[in-house]
Amino acid sequence: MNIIVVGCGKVGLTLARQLRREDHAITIIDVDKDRLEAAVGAMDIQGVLGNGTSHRVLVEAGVEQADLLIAVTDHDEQNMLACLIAKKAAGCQVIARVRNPSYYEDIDFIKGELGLSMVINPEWAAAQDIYRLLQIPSALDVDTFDRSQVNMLRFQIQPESPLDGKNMMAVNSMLGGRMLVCIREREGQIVIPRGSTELRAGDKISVIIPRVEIAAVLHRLKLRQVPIHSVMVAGGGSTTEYLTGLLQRSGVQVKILESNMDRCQVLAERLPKAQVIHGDSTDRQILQEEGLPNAEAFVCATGIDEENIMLALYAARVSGAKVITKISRIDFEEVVEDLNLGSVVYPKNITAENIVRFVRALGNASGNNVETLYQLLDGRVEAMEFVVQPSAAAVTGIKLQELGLKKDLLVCCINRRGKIITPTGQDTLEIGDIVVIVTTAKGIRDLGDIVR
Amino acid sequence: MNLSMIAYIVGCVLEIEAALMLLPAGIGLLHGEQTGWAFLAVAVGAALVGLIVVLRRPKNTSFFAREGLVATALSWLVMSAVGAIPFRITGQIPHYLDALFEMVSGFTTTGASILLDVEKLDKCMLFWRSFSHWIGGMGVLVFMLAILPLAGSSGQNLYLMRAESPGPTVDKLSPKMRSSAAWLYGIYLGLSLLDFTLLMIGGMTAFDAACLTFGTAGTGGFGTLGSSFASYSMMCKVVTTVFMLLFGMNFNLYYLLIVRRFRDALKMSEIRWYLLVFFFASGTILLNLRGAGILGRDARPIDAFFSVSSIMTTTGYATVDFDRWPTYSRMILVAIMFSGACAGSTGGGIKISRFMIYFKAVSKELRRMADPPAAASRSAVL
Repeated sequence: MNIIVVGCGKVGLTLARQLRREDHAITIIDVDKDRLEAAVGAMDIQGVLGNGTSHRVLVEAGVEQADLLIAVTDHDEQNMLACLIAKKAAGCQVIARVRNPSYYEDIDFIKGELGLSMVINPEWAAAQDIYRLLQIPSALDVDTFDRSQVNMLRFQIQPESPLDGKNMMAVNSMLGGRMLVCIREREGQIVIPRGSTELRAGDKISVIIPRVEIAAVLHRLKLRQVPIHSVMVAGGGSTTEYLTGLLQRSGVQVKILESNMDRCQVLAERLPKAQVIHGDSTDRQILQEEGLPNAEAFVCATGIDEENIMLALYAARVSGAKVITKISRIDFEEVVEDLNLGSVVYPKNITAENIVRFVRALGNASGNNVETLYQLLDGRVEAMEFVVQPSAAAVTGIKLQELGLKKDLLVCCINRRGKIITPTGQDTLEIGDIVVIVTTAKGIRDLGDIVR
Repeated sequence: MNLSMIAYIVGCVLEIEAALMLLPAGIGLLHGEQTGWAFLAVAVGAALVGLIVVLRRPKNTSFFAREGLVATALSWLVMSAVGAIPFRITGQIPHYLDALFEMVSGFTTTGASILLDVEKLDKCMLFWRSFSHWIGGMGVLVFMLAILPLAGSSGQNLYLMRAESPGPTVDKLSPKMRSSAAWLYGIYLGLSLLDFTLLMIGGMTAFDAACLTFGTAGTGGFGTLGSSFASYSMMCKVVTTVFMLLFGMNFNLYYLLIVRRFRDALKMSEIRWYLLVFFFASGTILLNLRGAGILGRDARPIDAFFSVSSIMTTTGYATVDFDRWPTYSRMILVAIMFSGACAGSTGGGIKISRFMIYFKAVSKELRRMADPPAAASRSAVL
């Protein structure tokens, strides 16, 4: 597929890399020659120098042959204009990044009028992600599958955990099939578990649990499940603004630390119920004064990654709070993982996942599209949700153990008319089911791709 | 420096050369020449050695400008060294160093030869000599980029293309390196086939037509006769004049024509300058020859065009002995040898585009002297 990316910033580069990995032809447009040359030197993509809102530049970038244009410059207005021109001139699909909260309020109207296929807002996505983590504080990551009503949670197994030393079969019988372990990480190695795979303290596991069972399962696993009533947030950017809105709706107290006085004023006006503190969030004294040692949860969401990492390490040292760190640059993901910061949220990745899912659906004619896609652990594992359509007859009605599924692929959950089944080899897929699949195999676009 | 990756690339090049050697082997066997077996033997040897290297695919595939340069240089050395072996073992060229000279000259499309009488060589040897021009013209690494998924989706293989391509800047034709390389080779192959067909129509034997096409396409200049081009028909001379000129043009032009971006094609100023230089040089030589009374006696108009085309693209075919032309004509020929062909073509020389940059810088400097406060854009040079 021919894809044009307007804007060679962090989001643009992440997208270009992810989409190139899926073997699409990428052309990137930017006004900065040096940035463009660096990008073209690092990836097999083409660069076009110029303003993406100019029709001539878009034509030079091949908009007439393009299937999709993604506008992710720093300016919302430019993004929308680029999309509008591309839509009118070439009729391709367009995706714009819109992140200014005042535009985002009317986003449905804008989307409809401009003919945008999709609007991405990394800050909003990050806020939602952080919000979910605050609801289940004992999890390192929470990913939701809305169609099938299940969540995927990631934990680290603690030494006193009942899971320590058990294999999958024992885990299943202990929990009565209400939870399925779909990924085990140990010392950087990723395993999609089988019945005999053993768990050990220190392993990180990702599990699929039906939403209604989460509380019960967490109780059985002896994990903390006290709901959080108050949150302290360092940094008052857009993410914080979105997050505070979400938290206040469910009655959580929010305290925001922001160093810019003007921004404090704006936040105080827009979020009257939140407590906005003017002060440098990296100042130990202010953190002490505002009660970090007794905080229930601490979100590091300043604009500077290094600061966020330092704050997270410090907070973990002085308090028992649930710590969530926002990191914008994805270049050092594995190093960040080694730091054991707890929960880390990457706004860029969340956005890229959505776009990759959209592109895969665009390139798939059969209609068995990926409904939800998560690229986990540096893109080494993908978790996907599908709705089984009549066109997937090749995989329906056959027992899973006889289907010849791909190696390292696990069918984690089947939602059959509201009833959630944790599948065994005896189960079948039926038309109308919603299934969740976890795999290390790359580039699955269609439900039919799950068999060898 | 990632040595294992360089070794891997050179290994791949060896494999490709082994495959290419099967062609002269086939020609030799077709003409009943025993020397054809030499190619087969060397091909098998090279394939085995290459296989040993290639089977150990390096874990670390990172690859940068430095590796690109080294891999390219090394590939050509290895190709020449291996390509020279058949000449030596069959005794067609008794000394290995002479054979190596011939092969390096072939792969670099220089066209200089140590042979006094090329007609004494076997057909398959002559074929391999000319074929090396064709391989060298577009570059075997570009060929590799077109067929091998070398470094996957990373941009690193652009370093290989940059290291091998002539001219000041290198751009891809399409977003994917692989399809860019495929385009380039497609255009190269298409033009060569056309040239070959037209030469056949002009009355050449298939063997001569093939060899001379190789020499024209790579702008190399190895022929099959001692007298170079003098004895061929008028049509062959005209066809070769045109095709030497065509292979000296920036290949982006053909790409733009094929994808029907005619306006962009017309805007390629390098092509316009290139044609201007060609017609100016040919015209002034014609006038000079007529003034000296040579035209009509020792030379015909086609000879002037042919010589200019041949020298400008550094091909080196000749229809007449232009050393006996007047000084003015010879000076013009020397000048266009320096200016050379277009960047992004198979032709040699300093390249028209570099001269264009130079002249534009000079004119900008002059304008600045005349009107110091005038602001000139930084990129005005290009």
